[in-house]
Amino acid sequence: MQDFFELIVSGFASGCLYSLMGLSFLLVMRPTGVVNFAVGQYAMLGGFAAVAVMTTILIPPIALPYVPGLLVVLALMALLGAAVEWIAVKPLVDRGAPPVASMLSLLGVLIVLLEVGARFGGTEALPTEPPFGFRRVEFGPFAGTPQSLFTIAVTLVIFAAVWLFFERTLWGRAFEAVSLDRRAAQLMGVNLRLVTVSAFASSAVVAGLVGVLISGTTGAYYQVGMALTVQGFTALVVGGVGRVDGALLGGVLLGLLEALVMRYLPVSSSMTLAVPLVVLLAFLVLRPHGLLANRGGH
Amino acid sequence: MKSFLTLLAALLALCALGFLLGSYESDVYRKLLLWIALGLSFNFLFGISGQVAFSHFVFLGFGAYWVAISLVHWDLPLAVAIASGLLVAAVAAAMIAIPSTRLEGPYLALATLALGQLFLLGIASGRDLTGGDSGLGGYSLPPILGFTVKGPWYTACIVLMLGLTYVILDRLDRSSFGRACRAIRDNQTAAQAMGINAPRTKVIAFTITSVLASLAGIFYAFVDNLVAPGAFSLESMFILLFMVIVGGTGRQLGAIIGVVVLYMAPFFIEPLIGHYHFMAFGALVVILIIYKPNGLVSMFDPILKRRRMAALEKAQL
Amino acid sequence: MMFSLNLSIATSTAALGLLAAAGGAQSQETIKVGVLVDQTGKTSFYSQPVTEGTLMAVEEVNAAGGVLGRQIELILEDDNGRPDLSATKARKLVDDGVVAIISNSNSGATRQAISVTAESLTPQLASANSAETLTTLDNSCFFQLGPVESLQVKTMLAFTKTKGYGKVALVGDNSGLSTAAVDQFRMGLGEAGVPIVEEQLIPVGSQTAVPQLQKVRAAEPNAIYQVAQIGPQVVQFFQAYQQLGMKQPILGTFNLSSSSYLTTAKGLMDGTVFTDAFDPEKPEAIAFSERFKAKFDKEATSLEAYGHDSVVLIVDAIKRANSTERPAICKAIAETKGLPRVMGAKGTGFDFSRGDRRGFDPEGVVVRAIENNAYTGAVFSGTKN
Repeated sequence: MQDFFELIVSGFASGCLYSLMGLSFLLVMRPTGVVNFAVGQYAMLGGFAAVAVMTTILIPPIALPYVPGLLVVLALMALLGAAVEWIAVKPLVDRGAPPVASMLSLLGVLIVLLEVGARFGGTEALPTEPPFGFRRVEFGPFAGTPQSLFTIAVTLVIFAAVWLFFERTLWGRAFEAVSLDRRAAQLMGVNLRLVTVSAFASSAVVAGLVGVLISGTTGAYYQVGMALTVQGFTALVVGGVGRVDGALLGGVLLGLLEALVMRYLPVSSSMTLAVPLVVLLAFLVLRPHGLLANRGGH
Repeated sequence: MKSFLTLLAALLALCALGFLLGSYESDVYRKLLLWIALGLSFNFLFGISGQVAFSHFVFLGFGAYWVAISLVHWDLPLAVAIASGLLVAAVAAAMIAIPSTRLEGPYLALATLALGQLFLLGIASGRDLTGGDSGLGGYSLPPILGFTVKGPWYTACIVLMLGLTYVILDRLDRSSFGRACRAIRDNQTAAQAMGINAPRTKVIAFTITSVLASLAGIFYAFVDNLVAPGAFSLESMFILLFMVIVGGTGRQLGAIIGVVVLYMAPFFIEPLIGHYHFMAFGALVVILIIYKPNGLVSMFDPILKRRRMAALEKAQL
Repeated sequence: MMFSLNLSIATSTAALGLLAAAGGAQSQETIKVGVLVDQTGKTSFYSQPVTEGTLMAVEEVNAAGGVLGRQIELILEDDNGRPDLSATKARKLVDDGVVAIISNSNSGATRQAISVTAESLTPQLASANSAETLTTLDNSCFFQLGPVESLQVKTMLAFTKTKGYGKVALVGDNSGLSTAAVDQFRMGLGEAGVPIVEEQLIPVGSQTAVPQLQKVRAAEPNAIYQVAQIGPQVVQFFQAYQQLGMKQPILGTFNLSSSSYLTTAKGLMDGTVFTDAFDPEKPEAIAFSERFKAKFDKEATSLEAYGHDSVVLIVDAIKRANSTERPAICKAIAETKGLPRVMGAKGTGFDFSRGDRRGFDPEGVVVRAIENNAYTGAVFSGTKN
C-alpha cells in the first residue's frame, strides 16, 4: 500500500507536466485553430534557458536565484512565442493560407528550435538546483519529494488562473469569441492581432515553465521535446480537445495510468513510454472527442 | 512511346553512373536513389493525396527489418522474404489506414507520429530479434539465380526499383484515381458531392504508398547489410517531409528536386557551416512555405511552359 | 560547457590543420589517421571528450617531431552516433587513404564500421567501447582498447565477494549501451551463482523512475547493480532511490566516472562504488592529467584518457613497423606487449600478445567510490580476491 500512495504523488506530478503541455497546445488552438507541434521544443529550450540563467554551467555565467531566474526565463519564452508567431504564422494567415500551412511551417520552426537547443545546451542532461531539494516528505500515507509537490501546486495555480481568465475577464471573453468565429469577433471590435500574439506568447510561457520544472528533476535535455509534445497532445485528446479543464483531467489521468501500469502490470519497463502512445491511438480511434464533451465552436 | 524511351534512357544513365563511382561515392549514390524513391511515394501520400502522415519511415523500416529478420532468424529464401514482406506491409498499411484516414490534419499527423514512436520502441526492445539499438546485421544478399549481385550491379537493382516506383506513381497520378486524390485534398466535401468515395480513395493511396516505402526498405536492407533504428527515426521523417515541401508539394519532379537538393546539400555546406545544416533546412522550409509555397520546382515552370508551348506549336504546324 | 567543448575541438582541429600543412610543406607527406566521432548525436557527450584526448595526443606527438619524421594528420568524421552513417564515413576515410581508423563513437557505430574496414583490412582501434563481441567480427585488424563488460562484472564480483550480497537487482536503461551491458551482467552473475531477484530498466525520456525502483525495493535485494545508464536516467535512478528511502548499496559501472554526474546528481551518489578503467593515482594518469590541465585548463576525466591511449598505441606500432602500410601496422599492433598506457590499474598496459584483440589488461579494471560528491582513487583492482 505504501507503494500505491507514493505512486499517486509521483504519477500526479508527472501528469501535471502533461497537463501543462496540453494547455500550451490549447492556448494556441482555441483562438487560431493552429496545432503547434513545436511546443515540446519550447519546453526543451525553457529548460536550457533555466540552466543558463540559474547556474554557471551554460553561458552566461550568472546564477540568479530561483524566482528572478524563473521570471527571466518566462519573459524570454514570451518573446520567443511572439517571435515565432510573427515570423512563421502571421505571413500565412495574412495570405489566407489554411491552418495546415501554419502547422507545416511550425514544423520547420520545431527543427530550428531543436537544433538551437542541441547546439547551445549540448547532448547531455544539465541540471538546475530544485528550489526545495530531493529529500523524502511524508504526509499521512502519501510520500513524495518537495519538487513533486511544488510541480503540483504550480500546475493547479496556473490552471485556476487560466480558467478564471477565460471565464471571468473581458479579455478571456475576447479569446473565446475569436475561437468561435474570427470574423465576427473582429467585427465586434476584438483586436485579432493582439489575441493571436498573446496566444502564442502564453503558450510558449506555459511550455517553458514545464521545461524549468523538469530541469530541476531529470535535467534539461535536448531530446525531451518530442515526448512532451506527444504526452501533451494525448492529455488534450483524453480530456477533450478545446477545454481547459479537459487538459488538466487528461494529463493527470495519463500520469497516474503510466505510473500504475508500470508498477502493477507485468509488462517490460521499456514499455512505459508506450503508454501515452497507445492511449493516444486508442482515444483517436475510439473516442476522438475525449472524456469531456467538446463545447461547440469550431 | 517517346516518354517510355526517355525513361529507359534515364534509367540506363543512372545505372551507368553506378559503374563509374568509387566505393564511398556509390554508397552515397545508392542512398540518394533510395531517398528519391521514398520522396516520390511520400509526395503521392502527402502532396497529392493530402495526408500529413508521419508513418512513411515506419513502412520503410518494416520492409528493411522484415527482410533482415527473415534471412537472419527464419532462414527464408529471398523471394519468399520479399513477397511475404510486401504482403504483410500491404495488410498492415490497410489496417492502419482504415481507422487513421478518418482523422484530419493534425490528428492524423499525431496518430502516425505515435505509430512511428511505437515502432521504434518495439525495435529497441526487440532484443535478439531486432538487435536492439545497435541494429541487426551480419547478413548479406543471397545469390540470385546463382549470381552474387554486388557493387554497381546492386546499384542497378536499386535503379530498377526506383524506375518501378516512378512508373506506378506516374500512372496513378495521371489516372482518374490521381484526380480523385487531388480533389479530396483540395476539398473533401466537394469531392464527395461529386461522387468520389473519399475514405476508400484515402485508404488505397495510403496502402499503395506505404507498400512502396516497404519495397524501398527491402532494398535498403542490403545497402549497409545492417538495419538499425537510427535510420528510421522521426528526424529522417522530418527531412523527407522537408524535401517534398522544398521541391514542390504534389509534383513528381518537385519531389525529385527536393530530395536531390536536401540530400546533397550537407556534403557541400557542412565544410562551410559545420553541423548546422539541419537547422538551415528548418529555416528554409519556413521561408519557402511563406514565400514560395509551390517549391523550387516552380522556378522552372516558365521554362517548362515555354517548351510545352513550342512543342504544341510544332505539332500544330 | 558543451559550448566550450565544441569550440576547443574546433580550434584544436584548426591548429592541427595548420601544423599538418606546415609539416607537409617542409618534408614528406603527412600520415593520415581517420577518427570516427559522434559530434551531434545522442552519444556525443562521451564521444567528444574521448576525441579531445585523441586530438591532444596527436598534437603532442607532432610537436615532438612526429613519427618516422612525418606529422600525423587526423581526419575527423562525424557519424552522428548512427551505425549506418558510421559505415558511410568509414568508407570515406578508407577512400581518403588513412593508415588506420580510431573509433570514438558508440559500440553499434563501431560494429558497422568494422564491416567496411574488414574489406580493406584497415587497422581500426576502438578507444572506449565496452561491447563484448566486437572482436569476433570479420576484421582481423580491429583492436578494442577499453574494458569489455564481462571484465567489469568479474572485477565487481571479486570486490564484493566478502560482502555477502546473496541476491541482487539489475537496473539499466533502454540505450544500446545499457541493454548490451545488462545482458553481460546477467550472464556474469549467473556464472558466479548470484541470483538476480529483479531486473528493471528506465526508458530514455521518462519523467520518473519511482515505479521501477519500487519494484526493486519490493524484491528486497542485498545490492543493486546500476548498469551502464547514461544521461537523465542516472539522475532519475538516484532521485527515486533517495525518494523511496532505499538503503541497498549501489554497484555502478564505468559510465558513472563522467564528472558531469557530480553536477546533475549532486550529493545523491555518495556511497556508490563503481567499476572504472581509470586510476587517477597511476603515475601515467597523473602526468596525463597535468598535461591536460595545462592545455585545456580543466580536469581530465577517464574519457579523454581513452582517446589519448589510441594514439599511443598506433604511434608505437608505426614506429616498430617502421612503415605506414596498413598490414605492417596491423601486425605491429598485434605484437604489442607491455606498452604503458594511461588507462587501467597501476602497472598494467597494452598487451595484445595473448592473441586476444581485446587489449585491456584482465587485471586492469579498478573499483572506485563516490564520497562527499567527489570520486576517490582506486579502492580495489583486478579479478582476484
